[in-house]
Amino acid sequence: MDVDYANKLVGQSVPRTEDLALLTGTARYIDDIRMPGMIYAKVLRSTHAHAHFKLDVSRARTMPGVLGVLTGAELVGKVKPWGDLMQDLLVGDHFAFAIDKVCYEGQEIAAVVAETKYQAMDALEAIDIEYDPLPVVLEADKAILPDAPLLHPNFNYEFGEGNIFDRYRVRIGDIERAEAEADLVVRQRFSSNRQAGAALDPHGCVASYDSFSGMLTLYSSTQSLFMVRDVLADSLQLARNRVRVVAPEVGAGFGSKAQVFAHEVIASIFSLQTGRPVHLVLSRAEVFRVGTARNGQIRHVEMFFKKDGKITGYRDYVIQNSGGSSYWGNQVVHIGTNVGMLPYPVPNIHIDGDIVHTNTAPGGALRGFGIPQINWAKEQLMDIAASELGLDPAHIRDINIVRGDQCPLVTPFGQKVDTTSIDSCLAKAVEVIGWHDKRANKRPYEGVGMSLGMKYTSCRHPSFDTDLSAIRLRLETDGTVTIFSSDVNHGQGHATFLAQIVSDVLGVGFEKIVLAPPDSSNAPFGLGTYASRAAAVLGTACRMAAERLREKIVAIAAHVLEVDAGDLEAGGDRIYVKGLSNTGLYLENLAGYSVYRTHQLPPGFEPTLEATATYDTPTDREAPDGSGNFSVTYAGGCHIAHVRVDPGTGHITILDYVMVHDTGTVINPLIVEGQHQGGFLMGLGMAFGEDYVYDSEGHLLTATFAEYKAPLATDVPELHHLFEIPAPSTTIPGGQKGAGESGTGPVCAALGNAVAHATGVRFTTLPITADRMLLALREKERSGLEIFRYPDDMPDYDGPRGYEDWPKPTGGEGEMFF
Amino acid sequence: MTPFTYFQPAGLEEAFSLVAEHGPGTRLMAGGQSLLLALKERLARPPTVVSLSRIPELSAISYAEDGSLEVGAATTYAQLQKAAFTGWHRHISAIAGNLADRSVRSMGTIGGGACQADPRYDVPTLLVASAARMVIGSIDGMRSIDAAAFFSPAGGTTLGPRDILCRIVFPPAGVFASFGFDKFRFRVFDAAVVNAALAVTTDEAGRITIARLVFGGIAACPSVAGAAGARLCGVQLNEFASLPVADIAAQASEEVLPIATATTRHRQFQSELIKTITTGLLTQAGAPGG
Amino acid sequence: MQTITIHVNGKKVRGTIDERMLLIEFIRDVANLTGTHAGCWEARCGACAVELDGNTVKSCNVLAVQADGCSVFTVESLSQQRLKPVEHVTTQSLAGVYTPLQAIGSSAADLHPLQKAFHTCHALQCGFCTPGMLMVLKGFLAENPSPTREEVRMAIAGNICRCTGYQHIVDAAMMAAETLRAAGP
Repeated sequence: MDVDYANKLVGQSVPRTEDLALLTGTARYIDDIRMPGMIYAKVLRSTHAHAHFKLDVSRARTMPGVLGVLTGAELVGKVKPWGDLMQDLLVGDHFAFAIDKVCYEGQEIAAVVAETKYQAMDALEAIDIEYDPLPVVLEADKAILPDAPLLHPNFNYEFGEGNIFDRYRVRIGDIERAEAEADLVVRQRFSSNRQAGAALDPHGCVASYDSFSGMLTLYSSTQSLFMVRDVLADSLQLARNRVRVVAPEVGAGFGSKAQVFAHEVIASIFSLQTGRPVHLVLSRAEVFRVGTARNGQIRHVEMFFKKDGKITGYRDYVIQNSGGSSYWGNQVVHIGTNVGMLPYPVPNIHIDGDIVHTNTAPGGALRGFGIPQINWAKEQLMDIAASELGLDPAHIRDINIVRGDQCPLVTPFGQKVDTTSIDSCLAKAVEVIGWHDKRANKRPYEGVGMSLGMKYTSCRHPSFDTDLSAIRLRLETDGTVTIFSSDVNHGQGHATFLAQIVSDVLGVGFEKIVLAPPDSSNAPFGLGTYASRAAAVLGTACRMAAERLREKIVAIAAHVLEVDAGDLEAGGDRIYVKGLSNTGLYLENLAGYSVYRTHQLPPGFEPTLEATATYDTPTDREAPDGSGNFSVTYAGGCHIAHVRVDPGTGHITILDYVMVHDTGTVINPLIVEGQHQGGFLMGLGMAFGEDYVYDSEGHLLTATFAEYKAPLATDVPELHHLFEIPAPSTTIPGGQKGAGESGTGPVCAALGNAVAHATGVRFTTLPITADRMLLALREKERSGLEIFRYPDDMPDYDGPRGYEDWPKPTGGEGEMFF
Repeated sequence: MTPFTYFQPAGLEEAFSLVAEHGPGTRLMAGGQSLLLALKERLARPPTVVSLSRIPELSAISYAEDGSLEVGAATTYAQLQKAAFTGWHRHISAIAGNLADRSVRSMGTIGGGACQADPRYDVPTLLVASAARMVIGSIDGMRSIDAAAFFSPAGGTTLGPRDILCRIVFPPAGVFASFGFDKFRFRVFDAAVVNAALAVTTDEAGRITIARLVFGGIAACPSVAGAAGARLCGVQLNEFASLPVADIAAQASEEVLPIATATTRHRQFQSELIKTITTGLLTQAGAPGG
Repeated sequence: MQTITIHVNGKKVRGTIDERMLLIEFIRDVANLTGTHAGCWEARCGACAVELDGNTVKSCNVLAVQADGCSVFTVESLSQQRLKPVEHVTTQSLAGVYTPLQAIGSSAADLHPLQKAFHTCHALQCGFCTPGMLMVLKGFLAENPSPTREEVRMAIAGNICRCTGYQHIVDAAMMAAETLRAAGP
C-alpha cells in the first residue's frame, strides 16, 4: 500500500505545541526563575522629569541585608555608554544610570541589591537625594524652539543639534510641480499619541556570573538575544563568548523588549560584583516609565490631487517625540514613513523630519513601528480629498492603489512590491460591511470609515545593514529533530510553525520536532523576533536549513539503498523510493549511520546530520533621496469600521469591523488570525484610549493599569469578519508575508474616518476618548460648523490651526540625512 | 509594604479593644482591596492592621422589624450581588455587581467602599441617595448616623480613630416609589467619571415628597442637587413627561458643578455627563414601572 | 512573623511568613507553584487570579495571612498531574520491546475543558494572562453555565490580555461552556 505523504502541514491550523506548558502553569517566565543564593535588586528612579541631582548612598549601604549599591558616577569610565554599537543608532546616549542630571521621570539613578526584596526596597528609601529641578519640555513642537530647555547639551549629533537628535529627508520627483499642477490640495496637521506595549509579563532579568569560568549568564525577558548580548558585552567590556543570554518564556513584547535596557546592565554588574545570581524584575509602573513607548508624531501633511482623484504628491513635515532617550526613535520615522506611504505609488514625495528629545518616557519600537502614525494622517487626508472632490472614499483609494496585476512593481519611492491583493481586499471589505448601502442610507450618529495599509515583512533598518535570521537543525540519532534559533518566541508560536515547515520538508513526524530554548551560547546568530519577521524571514531560514538537511539525509539513503537520490522521497519518518512509501530507511537509522556508523556514509560525506541556514533578505539600504526597498515583501489589508457615537456621553461603539488581509502563504491560519486580532487590539487601544498623559512638570499620570486605558474584553467588538486573500510572496521562497502588524496600522484611521462620517467631527489628534468626543460634539453644535476638527476648532486650542501657522522644517535644504 | 502587626479578631468587642489599644496609626481592613494598594506602594505605613473579615456579625445580611435591610460592613460586593433582594434593594445588588471586576468583588466590601469614601466608586452615592444609616461601634458603645453625615465634605469620613463601621441600615424595600442609578466610566473596571442616583418617595396621593438626586465623582464627598430635586416635589411620578427634564438636568449640573468652575476637559465632560445621566434618570423614573 | 496554613490545590502548605507576604507570594514562593503570574501587583491585570474558598480573587491584592486556614486553587489544579508513560517517539526499531518509564505530567487528554478549549481555539499567545483567565472563567462558568458572549466578556473584564484581542478567548469560553454543560453537573 502506498501512503500519500503529500498532505502537508503548512497551511493547516495545527494547535500549538507550546500551549500545554502555558495552560498548566509549568512554563517558566523571568519572575519564575529561582536560583540558589539568588539576591534581589531594586532601582531608585527619578521622581523628576528634568533635574540636576545630588546623591548620598552611605546610609543605604549600611541597611540590613544590603550587599551592594550602585550609582552612575562610580561607573563612569568603567562601563561604556551604548546606543552607538550599530551604525546610525545614535551616539552613546544610554547609560546604566543618570550621572548628575535626569531627563525623564523614572530614569535610573541608583540601585541596591539585598538578600530580600523588602530589604532592597527599604534600602532604596535610605538613599538621600536632592533634586534641583530644571524647566521641562514635553511636546515635540516645543522642543525644537530656540528657547526650549536642552536635554543633552553634551552630545553632538551627526544630523541634528539641540533637542533634535536626528533628521529625516525624502526628495522624490518634483513636488513644486505637483503642487503647481494640482487640481486639489488638502492639508492638515495630525498628531499621534504615545502608547505602551504593556506586555503583561514585565521586563526583567536574572544575571548570574560564574566566577570560575568567567561566564556571565543573563536570563532576560527579551525579544532579541544577540542584540542584548552584543550591547551588554560591549558596555561591560566582556568578551562576547563569555556573555550568554538566555530567554525564558517571554510574556509578549510587541517591540518593547527589542533592545537592551539599563536594568539588564545593572543586574549584570551586581552579579559580577557579588558572584551571586541577581534578580531584577520591573514593576508595572517602571515598565510604563522606562519600558519604552510608541513615538508620538506631529505630521504636517499636504497631499496633491488631480480632479479625477489621482494622487500626484505628498509633502510632510514630521516632528517626532522620542522621549528622553531613544534607541529606535529615528528608525521609526525612516521605516514607518517609507513603508507607510503604501499602497499608493505616489510620484512626488517631499518629507522633512525632526526627531527630538523631550522630558518624557523613552520612545521605542512598538507594533506597527511608525506605520500607524502616518496611516492616521494619510488615510484621513484621503477621505478629506474624496469629500472635496465628491468621490467615494472607496473609489479614490481604488484608483490609486498598487494593484495585484501590476506586480511586480517598483514604486517611485523604491518599494518593490512583489505581489499584493490589496485591491481585492478593498473590494471584499466594501462588500462585507455593506459600504455603499451604509454610505447612502446614513443613520444619525452612525458612520463607516475605511483605511488601507501595507506593512513591511521584516526590514533592513537604515541603521544597520542587515536583515537576517538563522536556523540550525539537527536530526537526532533517534529520528527526532531539534531546531535551534536565537529568535525568541514570545507568543508567535515558533515551536509550532517552524515544526510545520520542518515536518513538511523532512517528512518527519510533527510530534518529533522540538524547538530548543533560545540560548545565545548554542543558537545561530539571528537578529531576533520583531518587525513581523518570524514566519517569513526565520521561516525561510528554516526552510533552507531543512532542505539542506534533507539533501544530506537523502544522500546517505541513496548510498545505502544504491539508488539515485532523485528517485527518493521523504515521508512517514523515512526516506523511500518514489511509489514505495512503506519501504525505505527510517530517519533514525540514517541518523545513526551519520554519527555511529560512519563507514556506511557516502565517500567524502561529512558526518553528522546538521544543517544551518541564514537568510538575509534581498533588500536595499536607504538611498540619499530616502528611497529604497527596505522590506522583502509587503503584507497589507483593508479595514472598515462601522461605529455609533452616543451623543449623550461621547462613547463610541464599534458595531462591526471588517478586516481583509493579504498575508501571503499562511503557515498556520489560526495563528495568523490571532495575530490580526491582537494587532487590531493594539490599534484600538491607540485609537480610543491608551495614552501617556503628563502633568505640566512631566510626571506620568498613566503609569498604572488603573489609569492607562488598555482595552478590556468589553471594549473590543466581535472580530469574526476577518478574511485572507493571499497573494503569495514571490521573493520569499515559501510565499509567506509578515502577519504581526498588518492588523494594527489601519485601525486608528479607519475609526477616525468612521467617527467623522458618523458625526462630522474630524479628529486630528489621538486618542479619540469619550470626553473629547462629547465636548467636540457640543462645540460643533455651538459653532455651526459642518466639519468640525478636534482639537483645531476648539476654543481653547493653542496650536496652529492652519497651514500659515505651521512650523517650517529645520536644517539646510542642501543636506541629505542618511 | 512596611512592616506591621496583623490582628484578626474573631469578635467585635475584641476588635474595639484592639483599635482602642493600638491607637490612631491602626488601619482597619475588611477585604483589603483599597488598603493593600496603598500598603504596596508604601503610601500608607500603618504599624498595625486589624482585619475585620473574620467577625461573623460584620458580614451578615438581615432585616429589621420595620423591613430595613441591615448589611454588615464586611459584606462583600459578591455577596450583595447574589443576595435575593426585593424592591429598590435590588439596586444595591446591581450596583455592587457592577463595581470593579469579578475577582475584586469577591474581596471588596461595602463597608470598605464606604470608609474609603471615594465617591467615584458608587457606594457613597448609593448610601447618601438612599439615606442609609451608618451603625458605628467603638469601645465606648454603638451609635448610628446618617450617611450624609458620615462623609466629610473635605473627603474621607467623620469616623473617629477608635470607631469601626459595623453595619449599614438601608430603608425598607418599599420606601421608594422610584429608585434609579446610573454611571459613566471609560472601561468596565474603571472608577466612574460621574455616577448618580435618584431616590423618590411619594405620599398617599402619589405626589413626590422627597426626590434625592445625588452625584459622585464631582467632589470629595457625594454631591446632592437639592434645588433640582426640590423641583420634582409635588409632582406625580407619571406626570414626569410634562416636566422640563432637560432644564432640570441643566440645573442639577449647574448646582453640583457650576460651569464657571469647569475649566478642565475632565470637568467640562463631567458637566455634560451630569445632564445626560440626570435626563436618563428622570425619564426612567417617570416611565411606567420606574 | 506568623505561621499560617493554606490548603493549596488540596495540599496543606504551612509557612512562617512576614505579615507583608501577599497570597501570590505564598503560592509562588512557599507552595512553589509559579503558574500564578504577577502582571501588575495592582489588582488590575488579573493574571494572578486564583480561587479562594470558592471565590475568584486577585492574589496580588490579598495578604497571605488573610487566607490562613483557607483553601486555594490555582491553575496547576485544573488538569491532573499524574504519572503516565513517557511519550515514546522512537516507534520504529524499539517499539514494544521496553515499557516506557513513568513520568509526572499532564497530557492533552488530562486538560480541563477550559484548557482544552483554549488550546483548540488558540486563545493564548504569550500565555502570561492565561492562568488568570482560566481561573476566572472556571468560577464564572460554574455560576453561569450558559452564558452569552457578552456575559463572558463582562466576566473577564478584570483580566487584561494584550495579545489575542480577546476574540479567541471568548470563543474558547463558549466552547468550554458547551463541553461542561454536556458533561453535566
